[in-house]
Amino acid sequence: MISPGSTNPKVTDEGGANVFRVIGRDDQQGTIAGDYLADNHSKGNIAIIHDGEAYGLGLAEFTKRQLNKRGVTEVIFDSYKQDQADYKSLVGKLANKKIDVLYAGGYLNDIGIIIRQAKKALPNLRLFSGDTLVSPEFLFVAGEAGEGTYFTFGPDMRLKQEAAEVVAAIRNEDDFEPEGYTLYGYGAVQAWAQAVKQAGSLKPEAVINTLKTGSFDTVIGKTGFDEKGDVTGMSTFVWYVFGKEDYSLAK
Amino acid sequence: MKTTIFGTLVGVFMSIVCGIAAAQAEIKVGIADSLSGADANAGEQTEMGALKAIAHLNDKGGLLRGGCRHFSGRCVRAAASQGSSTATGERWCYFRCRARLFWLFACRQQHL
Repeated sequence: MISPGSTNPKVTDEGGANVFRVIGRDDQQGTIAGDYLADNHSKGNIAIIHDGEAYGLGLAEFTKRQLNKRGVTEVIFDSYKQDQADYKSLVGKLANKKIDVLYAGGYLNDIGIIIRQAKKALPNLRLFSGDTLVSPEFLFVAGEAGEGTYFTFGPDMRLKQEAAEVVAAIRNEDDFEPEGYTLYGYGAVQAWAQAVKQAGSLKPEAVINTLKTGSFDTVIGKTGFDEKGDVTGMSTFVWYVFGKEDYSLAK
Repeated sequence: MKTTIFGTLVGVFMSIVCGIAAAQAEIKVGIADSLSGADANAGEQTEMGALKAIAHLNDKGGLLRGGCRHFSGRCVRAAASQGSSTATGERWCYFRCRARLFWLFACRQQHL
Protein backbone atom coordinates (compact mmCIF):
# COMPACT_ATOMS: atom_id res chain seq x y z
CA MET A 1 0.00 0.00 0.00
CA ILE A 2 1.22 3.47 -0.87
CA SER A 3 -0.97 6.17 0.61
CA PRO A 4 -1.15 9.66 -0.89
CA GLY A 5 -3.17 11.10 1.98
CA SER A 6 -2.73 9.18 5.25
CA THR A 7 -0.92 11.52 7.62
CA ASN A 8 -1.40 9.71 10.94
CA PRO A 9 2.05 8.59 12.22
CA LYS A 10 0.67 5.16 13.15
CA VAL A 11 0.14 4.34 9.46
CA THR A 12 3.83 3.70 8.92
CA ASP A 13 4.93 3.33 12.55
CA GLU A 14 2.64 0.34 13.02
CA GLY A 15 1.54 -0.46 9.49
CA GLY A 16 4.08 -3.13 8.60
CA ALA A 17 6.73 -3.58 5.95
CA ASN A 18 4.38 -3.17 3.00
CA VAL A 19 3.01 0.26 3.98
CA PHE A 20 4.31 3.47 2.40
CA ARG A 21 3.12 7.05 2.02
CA VAL A 22 3.97 9.96 -0.26
CA ILE A 23 2.75 12.65 2.12
CA GLY A 24 4.08 13.94 5.45
CA ARG A 25 3.06 12.87 8.94
CA ASP A 26 0.86 14.63 11.49
CA ASP A 27 3.68 14.82 14.01
CA GLN A 28 5.59 16.90 11.43
CA GLN A 29 2.45 18.91 10.65
CA GLY A 30 1.75 19.53 14.34
CA THR A 31 5.33 20.56 14.99
CA ILE A 32 5.20 23.11 12.18
CA ALA A 33 1.87 24.45 13.49
CA GLY A 34 3.05 24.56 17.12
CA ASP A 35 6.21 26.40 16.14
CA TYR A 36 4.28 28.89 14.03
CA LEU A 37 1.85 29.67 16.83
CA ALA A 38 4.69 29.99 19.35
CA ASP A 39 6.69 32.26 17.03
CA ASN A 40 3.82 34.52 16.02
CA HIS A 41 1.00 34.33 18.56
CA SER A 42 2.57 33.55 21.93
CA LYS A 43 0.97 36.60 23.50
CA GLY A 44 -2.53 35.87 22.22
CA ASN A 45 -5.18 33.62 23.72
CA ILE A 46 -4.83 30.35 21.86
CA ALA A 47 -7.49 27.64 21.69
CA ILE A 48 -6.87 24.18 20.24
CA ILE A 49 -9.93 22.16 19.30
CA HIS A 50 -10.48 18.78 17.66
CA ASP A 51 -13.27 16.45 16.59
CA GLY A 52 -12.12 13.54 18.75
CA GLU A 53 -11.33 11.40 15.69
CA ALA A 54 -7.94 9.79 15.01
CA TYR A 55 -6.90 12.49 12.56
CA GLY A 56 -8.28 15.59 14.30
CA LEU A 57 -7.33 14.60 17.83
CA GLY A 58 -3.86 13.46 16.75
CA LEU A 59 -3.12 16.68 14.92
CA ALA A 60 -4.41 18.80 17.81
CA GLU A 61 -2.26 16.86 20.28
CA PHE A 62 0.90 17.17 18.19
CA THR A 63 0.30 20.92 17.83
CA LYS A 64 -0.32 21.31 21.57
CA ARG A 65 2.78 19.27 22.39
CA GLN A 66 5.02 21.49 20.30
CA LEU A 67 3.36 24.70 21.51
CA ASN A 68 3.85 23.66 25.15
CA LYS A 69 7.41 22.57 24.42
CA ARG A 70 8.05 26.11 23.26
CA GLY A 71 6.79 27.45 26.59
CA VAL A 72 3.36 28.60 25.40
CA THR A 73 0.17 27.23 26.96
CA GLU A 74 -3.19 27.25 25.24
CA VAL A 75 -6.20 28.68 27.04
CA ILE A 76 -8.58 26.01 25.76
CA PHE A 77 -8.00 22.43 24.59
CA ASP A 78 -11.40 21.01 23.80
CA SER A 79 -13.34 18.75 21.48
CA TYR A 80 -16.43 19.24 19.34
CA LYS A 81 -18.90 16.83 17.78
CA GLN A 82 -18.70 16.18 14.06
CA ASP A 83 -21.54 16.99 11.64
CA GLN A 84 -23.35 19.57 13.77
CA ALA A 85 -25.19 22.53 12.29
CA ASP A 86 -24.83 24.55 15.47
CA TYR A 87 -21.64 25.04 17.48
CA LYS A 88 -23.13 27.64 19.85
CA SER A 89 -21.74 25.99 22.97
CA LEU A 90 -18.17 25.85 21.60
CA VAL A 91 -18.40 29.41 20.28
CA GLY A 92 -19.61 30.53 23.72
CA LYS A 93 -16.51 29.03 25.34
CA LEU A 94 -14.22 30.71 22.80
CA ALA A 95 -15.93 34.06 23.34
CA ASN A 96 -15.78 33.79 27.15
CA LYS A 97 -12.03 33.26 27.03
CA LYS A 98 -11.58 36.02 24.42
CA ILE A 99 -9.73 33.68 22.07
CA ASP A 100 -7.55 35.36 19.41
CA VAL A 101 -6.14 32.29 17.72
CA LEU A 102 -7.93 29.02 17.01
CA TYR A 103 -6.18 25.85 15.89
CA ALA A 104 -8.63 23.20 14.69
CA GLY A 105 -7.87 19.54 14.05
CA GLY A 106 -10.69 18.03 12.04
CA TYR A 107 -12.43 18.13 8.69
CA LEU A 108 -13.37 20.91 6.30
CA ASN A 109 -17.14 21.04 6.79
CA ASP A 110 -17.12 21.21 10.59
CA ILE A 111 -14.27 23.70 10.71
CA GLY A 112 -16.00 25.85 8.08
CA ILE A 113 -19.19 26.00 10.13
CA ILE A 114 -17.31 26.65 13.38
CA ILE A 115 -15.36 29.61 11.99
CA ARG A 116 -18.49 31.05 10.34
CA GLN A 117 -20.30 31.03 13.66
CA ALA A 118 -17.28 31.95 15.80
CA LYS A 119 -16.40 35.05 13.79
CA LYS A 120 -19.79 36.56 14.62
CA ALA A 121 -18.76 36.62 18.29
CA LEU A 122 -15.03 37.10 17.69
CA PRO A 123 -14.54 39.09 14.46
CA ASN A 124 -10.75 39.17 14.78
CA LEU A 125 -10.36 35.47 15.45
CA ARG A 126 -7.61 33.87 13.35
CA LEU A 127 -8.00 30.24 12.29
CA PHE A 128 -5.23 27.71 11.65
CA SER A 129 -5.69 24.11 10.62
CA GLY A 130 -4.27 21.09 8.82
CA ASP A 131 -4.23 19.43 5.40
CA THR A 132 -7.93 18.56 5.12
CA LEU A 133 -8.73 22.17 4.32
CA VAL A 134 -6.96 21.92 0.97
CA SER A 135 -9.92 22.84 -1.23
CA PRO A 136 -11.70 26.06 -2.18
CA GLU A 137 -14.82 24.24 -1.00
CA PHE A 138 -13.85 25.45 2.47
CA LEU A 139 -14.92 28.94 1.38
CA PHE A 140 -18.35 27.67 0.31
CA VAL A 141 -18.88 26.44 3.86
CA ALA A 142 -17.13 29.19 5.81
CA GLY A 143 -18.09 32.11 3.57
CA GLU A 144 -16.23 35.36 4.16
CA ALA A 145 -15.25 34.13 7.62
CA GLY A 146 -12.91 31.66 5.93
CA GLU A 147 -10.75 34.34 4.33
CA GLY A 148 -7.39 34.64 6.03
CA THR A 149 -7.47 31.05 7.33
CA TYR A 150 -4.08 29.37 7.35
CA PHE A 151 -3.55 25.66 6.87
CA THR A 152 -0.66 23.29 6.28
CA PHE A 153 -0.40 20.93 3.32
CA GLY A 154 2.36 19.39 1.21
CA PRO A 155 3.99 21.48 -1.51
CA ASP A 156 1.65 22.38 -4.40
CA MET A 157 2.80 19.85 -6.98
CA ARG A 158 0.94 21.63 -9.78
CA LEU A 159 3.80 24.11 -9.79
CA LYS A 160 6.44 21.48 -10.49
CA GLN A 161 7.92 21.25 -13.98
CA GLU A 162 7.73 17.43 -13.83
CA ALA A 163 3.97 17.64 -13.33
CA ALA A 164 3.16 20.08 -16.15
CA GLU A 165 2.09 17.47 -18.72
CA VAL A 166 -0.08 15.52 -16.26
CA VAL A 167 -1.66 18.71 -14.89
CA ALA A 168 -2.60 19.75 -18.45
CA ALA A 169 -3.98 16.28 -19.23
CA ILE A 170 -6.18 16.17 -16.14
CA ARG A 171 -7.44 19.72 -16.72
CA ASN A 172 -8.16 19.21 -20.43
CA GLU A 173 -9.31 15.59 -20.58
CA ASP A 174 -11.13 15.30 -17.27
CA ASP A 175 -12.20 18.89 -16.64
CA PHE A 176 -10.81 18.50 -13.13
CA GLU A 177 -8.47 20.79 -11.23
CA PRO A 178 -5.60 18.58 -9.99
CA GLU A 179 -5.29 20.31 -6.65
CA GLY A 180 -4.71 18.88 -3.20
CA TYR A 181 -4.09 15.16 -3.13
CA THR A 182 -4.59 14.57 -6.89
CA LEU A 183 -0.93 14.59 -7.91
CA TYR A 184 0.05 12.76 -4.74
CA GLY A 185 -2.33 9.98 -5.90
CA TYR A 186 -0.72 10.04 -9.32
CA GLY A 187 2.77 9.98 -7.79
CA ALA A 188 1.92 7.02 -5.55
CA VAL A 189 0.97 4.91 -8.58
CA GLN A 190 4.08 6.07 -10.45
CA ALA A 191 6.36 5.10 -7.55
CA TRP A 192 4.77 1.65 -7.37
CA ALA A 193 4.94 1.12 -11.15
CA GLN A 194 8.60 2.14 -11.26
CA ALA A 195 9.38 -0.16 -8.32
CA VAL A 196 7.69 -3.05 -10.15
CA LYS A 197 9.69 -2.27 -13.31
CA GLN A 198 12.96 -1.97 -11.39
CA ALA A 199 12.26 -5.19 -9.49
CA GLY A 200 11.12 -6.89 -12.69
CA SER A 201 8.49 -8.63 -10.64
CA LEU A 202 5.18 -8.22 -8.84
CA LYS A 203 6.34 -10.30 -5.88
CA PRO A 204 5.67 -8.28 -2.72
CA GLU A 205 9.15 -8.78 -1.19
CA ALA A 206 10.88 -7.64 -4.38
CA VAL A 207 8.65 -4.57 -4.77
CA ILE A 208 8.96 -3.64 -1.06
CA ASN A 209 12.77 -3.89 -1.18
CA THR A 210 12.91 -1.77 -4.32
CA LEU A 211 10.61 0.86 -2.80
CA LYS A 212 12.83 1.05 0.29
CA THR A 213 16.10 1.28 -1.58
CA GLY A 214 15.26 2.90 -4.89
CA SER A 215 14.45 6.40 -6.01
CA PHE A 216 11.57 7.27 -8.29
CA ASP A 217 10.95 10.06 -10.78
CA THR A 218 7.38 11.12 -10.24
CA VAL A 219 5.16 14.15 -10.70
CA ILE A 220 5.83 14.98 -7.05
CA GLY A 221 9.58 15.00 -7.70
CA LYS A 222 12.36 12.49 -7.19
CA THR A 223 11.19 10.56 -4.17
CA GLY A 224 12.14 7.56 -2.12
CA PHE A 225 11.08 5.95 1.15
CA ASP A 226 12.82 5.39 4.46
CA GLU A 227 12.88 2.13 6.39
CA LYS A 228 9.45 2.83 7.93
CA GLY A 229 7.89 3.69 4.58
CA ASP A 230 7.72 7.47 5.01
CA VAL A 231 8.48 9.55 1.95
CA THR A 232 11.91 11.11 1.53
CA GLY A 233 13.23 13.71 -0.87
CA MET A 234 10.52 16.33 -0.52
CA SER A 235 9.37 18.97 1.96
CA THR A 236 6.52 17.65 4.00
CA PHE A 237 4.29 20.65 4.84
CA VAL A 238 4.08 24.33 3.97
CA TRP A 239 1.58 27.03 4.90
CA TYR A 240 -1.28 28.18 2.67
CA VAL A 241 -3.76 30.97 3.21
CA PHE A 242 -7.31 31.42 1.93
CA GLY A 243 -8.14 34.53 -0.07
CA LYS A 244 -11.56 35.48 -1.41
CA GLU A 245 -11.92 32.62 -3.91
CA ASP A 246 -9.11 30.15 -3.39
CA TYR A 247 -6.04 29.37 -1.33
CA SER A 248 -2.45 30.23 -2.17
CA LEU A 249 0.99 29.71 -0.72
CA ALA A 250 1.40 31.89 2.38
CA LYS A 251 4.24 34.41 2.27
CA MET B 1 -5.14 -15.49 -51.90
CA LYS B 2 -5.84 -18.63 -49.86
CA THR B 3 -2.75 -17.93 -47.80
CA THR B 4 -3.95 -14.39 -47.10
CA ILE B 5 -7.41 -15.55 -45.98
CA PHE B 6 -5.87 -18.30 -43.87
CA GLY B 7 -3.42 -15.82 -42.37
CA THR B 8 -6.23 -13.42 -41.57
CA LEU B 9 -8.30 -16.16 -39.89
CA VAL B 10 -5.32 -17.30 -37.86
CA GLY B 11 -4.68 -13.68 -36.90
CA VAL B 12 -8.27 -13.20 -35.75
CA PHE B 13 -8.20 -16.46 -33.81
CA MET B 14 -4.89 -15.66 -32.15
CA SER B 15 -5.96 -12.13 -31.30
CA ILE B 16 -9.06 -13.50 -29.51
CA VAL B 17 -7.03 -16.15 -27.69
CA CYS B 18 -4.39 -13.63 -26.74
CA GLY B 19 -7.03 -11.13 -25.73
CA ILE B 20 -8.23 -13.65 -23.18
CA ALA B 21 -4.62 -14.32 -22.16
CA ALA B 22 -4.03 -10.60 -21.77
CA ALA B 23 -7.10 -10.27 -19.57
CA GLN B 24 -5.79 -13.08 -17.42
CA ALA B 25 -2.36 -11.46 -17.21
CA GLU B 26 -3.77 -8.11 -16.12
CA ILE B 27 -2.46 -6.46 -12.98
CA LYS B 28 -5.15 -5.33 -10.57
CA VAL B 29 -4.55 -2.23 -8.48
CA GLY B 30 -6.97 -1.53 -5.64
CA ILE B 31 -7.77 2.09 -4.90
CA ALA B 32 -9.32 2.73 -1.51
CA ASP B 33 -10.46 6.21 -0.57
CA SER B 34 -13.36 8.03 1.01
CA LEU B 35 -15.93 9.20 -1.50
CA SER B 36 -18.52 10.27 1.04
CA GLY B 37 -18.45 11.82 4.47
CA ALA B 38 -16.07 14.34 5.93
CA ASP B 39 -13.08 13.41 3.79
CA ALA B 40 -14.91 12.93 0.46
CA ASN B 41 -13.14 15.85 -1.12
CA ALA B 42 -9.69 14.36 -0.54
CA GLY B 43 -10.93 10.95 -1.70
CA GLU B 44 -12.14 12.34 -5.01
CA GLN B 45 -8.79 14.03 -5.63
CA THR B 46 -6.80 10.92 -4.72
CA GLU B 47 -8.88 8.68 -6.94
CA MET B 48 -8.63 11.02 -9.90
CA GLY B 49 -4.83 11.08 -9.62
CA ALA B 50 -4.48 7.32 -9.26
CA LEU B 51 -6.86 6.54 -12.15
CA LYS B 52 -5.06 8.98 -14.42
CA ALA B 53 -1.68 7.43 -13.58
CA ILE B 54 -3.04 3.97 -14.42
CA ALA B 55 -4.51 5.27 -17.69
CA HIS B 56 -1.12 6.71 -18.62
CA LEU B 57 0.57 3.41 -17.72
CA ASN B 58 -1.80 1.57 -20.06
CA ASP B 59 -1.29 4.19 -22.78
CA LYS B 60 2.39 3.37 -22.67
CA GLY B 61 1.74 -0.34 -23.15
CA GLY B 62 1.17 -1.58 -19.62
CA LEU B 63 3.63 -2.87 -17.09
CA LEU B 64 6.17 -5.70 -17.25
CA ARG B 65 6.18 -8.24 -20.08
CA GLY B 66 3.67 -11.02 -20.19
CA GLY B 67 0.62 -9.48 -21.82
CA CYS B 68 -0.46 -10.92 -25.21
CA ARG B 69 1.84 -13.90 -24.93
CA HIS B 70 4.84 -11.78 -24.01
CA PHE B 71 4.56 -9.41 -26.96
CA SER B 72 3.57 -6.48 -24.76
CA GLY B 73 3.26 -5.20 -21.20
CA ARG B 74 0.45 -6.37 -18.94
CA CYS B 75 -2.59 -4.10 -18.84
CA VAL B 76 -3.33 -2.53 -15.46
CA ARG B 77 -6.87 -2.66 -14.13
CA ALA B 78 -7.98 -0.27 -11.41
CA ALA B 79 -10.33 -1.70 -8.84
CA ALA B 80 -11.88 1.53 -7.61
CA SER B 81 -15.35 2.72 -6.76
CA GLN B 82 -15.45 5.09 -9.73
CA GLY B 83 -12.76 3.41 -11.77
CA SER B 84 -13.79 2.03 -15.14
CA SER B 85 -12.03 0.48 -18.07
CA THR B 86 -12.65 3.62 -20.08
CA ALA B 87 -11.19 5.87 -17.40
CA THR B 88 -8.03 3.85 -17.04
CA GLY B 89 -7.49 3.04 -20.72
CA GLU B 90 -7.64 -0.66 -19.95
CA ARG B 91 -9.90 -1.55 -22.91
CA TRP B 92 -7.65 0.41 -25.20
CA CYS B 93 -4.66 -1.49 -23.78
CA TYR B 94 -6.33 -4.85 -24.59
CA PHE B 95 -7.42 -3.63 -28.01
CA ARG B 96 -3.90 -2.55 -28.91
CA CYS B 97 -2.61 -5.85 -27.62
CA ARG B 98 -4.99 -7.82 -29.86
CA ALA B 99 -4.37 -5.54 -32.83
CA ARG B 100 -0.63 -6.03 -32.46
CA LEU B 101 -1.09 -9.80 -32.42
CA PHE B 102 -3.43 -9.72 -35.42
CA TRP B 103 -0.91 -7.72 -37.40
CA LEU B 104 1.99 -9.98 -36.44
CA PHE B 105 0.22 -13.19 -37.43
CA ALA B 106 -1.39 -11.81 -40.59
CA CYS B 107 1.97 -10.52 -41.82
CA ARG B 108 3.68 -13.75 -40.93
CA GLN B 109 1.17 -15.85 -42.89
CA GLN B 110 1.37 -13.56 -45.92
CA HIS B 111 5.12 -14.04 -46.07
CA LEU B 112 5.09 -17.83 -45.71
